[in-house]
Amino acid sequence: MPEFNRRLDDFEKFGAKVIGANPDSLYTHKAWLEKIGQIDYPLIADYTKALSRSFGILDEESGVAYRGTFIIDPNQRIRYASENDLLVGRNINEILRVLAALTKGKPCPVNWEAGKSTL
Amino acid sequence: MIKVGMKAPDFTVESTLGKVSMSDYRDKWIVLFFYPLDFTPI
Repeated sequence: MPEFNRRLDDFEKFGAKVIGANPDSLYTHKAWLEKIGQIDYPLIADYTKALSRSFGILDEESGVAYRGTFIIDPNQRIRYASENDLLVGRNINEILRVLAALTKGKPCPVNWEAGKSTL
Repeated sequence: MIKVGMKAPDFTVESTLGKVSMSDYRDKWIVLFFYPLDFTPI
């Protein structure tokens, strides 16, 4: 979560807004932020779990959200969806790579990275 | 799980920076990520 904050400018380059979410309350979020410092993007308090459920990444048994990551385009379409096990952190570089490719709007071959030519 | 190509579910929820609505982000790319709980080290 702090890593998204450190890389916020990299997301801004593509005009993308970062939003974090989990099923904790606003109260818990604020206590957590006191520990880790300021986070400049909104952290959603999905206390009712409705949002996690609507994205299909809620573990109904434990009430926690899996590490789901979604890129949503300006027309509110899902353009990227991934889900990690609770034990595995995300790769922010990969999310930025996909965002770069999507905003490029051209076919990007295997292992494409920003700066490389498209098809 | 929500799949690529689907319309993102609409939402209006409380956040650390006030109310957040999908409609606030019209014409923007959004990276929405979920994590299990606060106070986790990953």
